[in-house]
Order: sequence, then structure tokens, then C-alpha cells
Amino acid sequence: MNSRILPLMGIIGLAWALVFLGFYIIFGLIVPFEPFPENDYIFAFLNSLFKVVLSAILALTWIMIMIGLRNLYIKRKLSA
Amino acid sequence: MALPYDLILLASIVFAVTFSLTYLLTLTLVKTLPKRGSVVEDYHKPERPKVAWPGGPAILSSIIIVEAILYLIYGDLRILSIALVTMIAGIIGLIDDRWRLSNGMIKPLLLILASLPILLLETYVPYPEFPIFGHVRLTTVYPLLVLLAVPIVSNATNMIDVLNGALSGFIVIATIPLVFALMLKGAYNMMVATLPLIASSIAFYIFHRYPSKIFPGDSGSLALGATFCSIAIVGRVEIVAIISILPAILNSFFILSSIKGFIEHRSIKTRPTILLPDGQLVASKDPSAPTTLVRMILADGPLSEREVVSNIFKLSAFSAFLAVITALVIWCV
Repeated sequence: MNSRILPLMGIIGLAWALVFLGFYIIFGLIVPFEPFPENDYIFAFLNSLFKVVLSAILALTWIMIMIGLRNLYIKRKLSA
Repeated sequence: MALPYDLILLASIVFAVTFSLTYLLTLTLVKTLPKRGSVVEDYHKPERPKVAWPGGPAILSSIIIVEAILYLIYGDLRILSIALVTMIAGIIGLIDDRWRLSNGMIKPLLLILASLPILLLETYVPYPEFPIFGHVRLTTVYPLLVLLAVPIVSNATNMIDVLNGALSGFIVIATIPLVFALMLKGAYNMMVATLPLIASSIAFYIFHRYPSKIFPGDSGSLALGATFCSIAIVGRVEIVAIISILPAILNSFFILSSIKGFIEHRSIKTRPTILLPDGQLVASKDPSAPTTLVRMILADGPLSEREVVSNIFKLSAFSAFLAVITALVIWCV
């Protein structure tokens, strides 16, 4: 195996693992989480909003991790 | 699992017909396009040879013809959706090939139109299948995701079309897990409908591989990406498709995040790679150069174009392997 693509395989592998972890956090933890009692429309709406915001934060975290990995790779390999 | 004889026969015919159609049409284009002056320079070779372009019409017309025939056989609207999505994306690509859409935002916005057949024919199911959790209800968000998916995937495949044979070879490797997943699900109609994408890409690869005799152009790259995406949506193998196409998604994500926005790739001033006099490619050390997958592969030192493409294929194969594992987790665990 060509050693130059191993770090890139690592990035792809990590992206895959993080997608799996993200699914687990979203569908296993965030979706069943009901911080407000669902006994009226406002609380139901707040529950949904809360879940959307948490999922969006998770997606942003994934993006930031990917950008961080890219920057680290470029800094280590291509810094003049 | 044992596949019925009729299915194997139909799949073989579909594969052979698409392969032959694309092969013959591409061969015709290789001969006729240079006579009409429809050529572009291959920037990754010192002598800068003129290469026939665009080869997209050969790809998209053969996929559309075979998918239309399959629609007549099965009467399955999902297959009609694939044909229509391919056609619209291909036409947008042809417009770009002919008139060069200069604004980077126009192409993604136009590509939203390519998603419409899936929504209008209602060939999507807003319950994508996730690993471990199974079906998840996304009735409100899913149509919006469909609108976004075709432009994102088409642009991702467009952005990986930088070296001889990279796009066509990549699509072949990335589509194999979709066939595997559809077979695993028992979605045989859709499995057969996926074969034209592989057959057409293989036939085109024969002319597109190093040294290229033809380039697909945006008509080819957008059509291939849109076909891939439409199969993923109507075949309900979205997650497998996302994993399989990760190298292209990460490539476009790294480019867009490094140049900070949608810019037409032809208008990027600083090139990510530099061509050496001996024909090898080396990564640019200019901090303003966009971060592309090719630049990252070249970060350890110069390589020939062939070697870079070979590395792209290895990364694609790794992603395809992860996609197969994902399919097994979704439908077997």
C-alpha cells in the first residue's frame, strides 16, 4: 500500500466513523430527548426546535473537524 | 442469494447495450469533434495536446435511451425519474460547455431543476434507511434534501474531473456499492437501472483514461453525478451512496471551504498543482491555492498524472469498501 494515501484514507475513514457516530447521537440521543412536556403546541414546537438546533450544531461540529483535519494535513505537508 | 435467470439475462443485455452505445457514440465524437474544432488543451501535459471535448452527449444519451427502454419494460416511474434527472443535468452541462456559465452560483441553482422530476413524480420515500436505527421519518426535510442533493453531488463529480480518466473510473468504483446494496435489499428493478451508469462509465473510460482522447466536459460530469444521485434517492440507498462518494464530497468541500464560496473552477486564479518540465505534477505551496484532493495526494512529492489517478482510484475503492460495510450494517445487522 502506498504510504502517501494512508493519511487520506485516515481522513475518509474518520469522516465515515463520524457520520456513524453522528447518526447515533442524532437518532439515539437527540430525537428521543424531550426536554419540555409535550402537552401543548408551544412545548411540542420547542422540542422540535431544540432537536433541530442540536442536530445543526452536530453537523457544524463535523464540518469543523473536517476543516481542522484538512488544515492540519496541509500545514504538516505543504508548509513552505 | 440466487438471482433469477431472467434477471441475469436482462442485466447482461442492459449492460452490453449501454456499453456498446456509449463506446460507439464516444468513438464517433473522438473522430468528429476535432474536425469541428471542438477541442480543449490538456493542461497536465508539457506538450499541451488538443483533446476532443465534450464527450458528455455520448454518456448522457446512452444512459437516457437505456433507462427509457427499462421504463417501458418495467413501467416503474423511478426509472423514468433517473432518465429525466440525467437529461436535465446533461442539458445544463451542455449549456455550460457551450456558453461557459461564468457565475459560480448559476450552475448549482440551475441544477436544482434536475431534482424536480424526483419530486414531481413523487418517486422518493421520505423514510431513509440508516445504520442501526432503520427507517427514519423525515417527511418535511426530505424534499428539501432532494433539491439540494442533485446540485451537491453533480458539482462534486464535476470537481473531481481534473485528470485523465479520474471521473469515469471514480464513478465506476463508487457505483458498485449501490448495485451491491440494491441487490441486498432485493430491489432488482433498481439494480438493473443502475447498470447503465456503470456500463456507460466503463465504455467512456476506455477513451478517457491516460492519455485522454476525449474529455467528458460538464455535460458528462454533471450527468454522471446526477444519475448517481437520482439512483441513490429513488433506490433508497442514500447513506451507502454518501459513503461511496465521500472522496468527491470531501474534495469539493475542501475546495469550497478553502476558496470560501462558490466560484466557477475555471475562474480560480491560483492553480492547486504545478506541471514540471518532465510531465510530473507537484502540489502548489502557495497558501492561496485551493485545497483539492489531487493537491493533497501530491503533498508528499511529485507524481505522474497516471499515478495520481491511480491513488484517486485507491481512495475510491477504500470508500466503496466502507460503503459496502455500511450496506451490510443497514440491511443485515
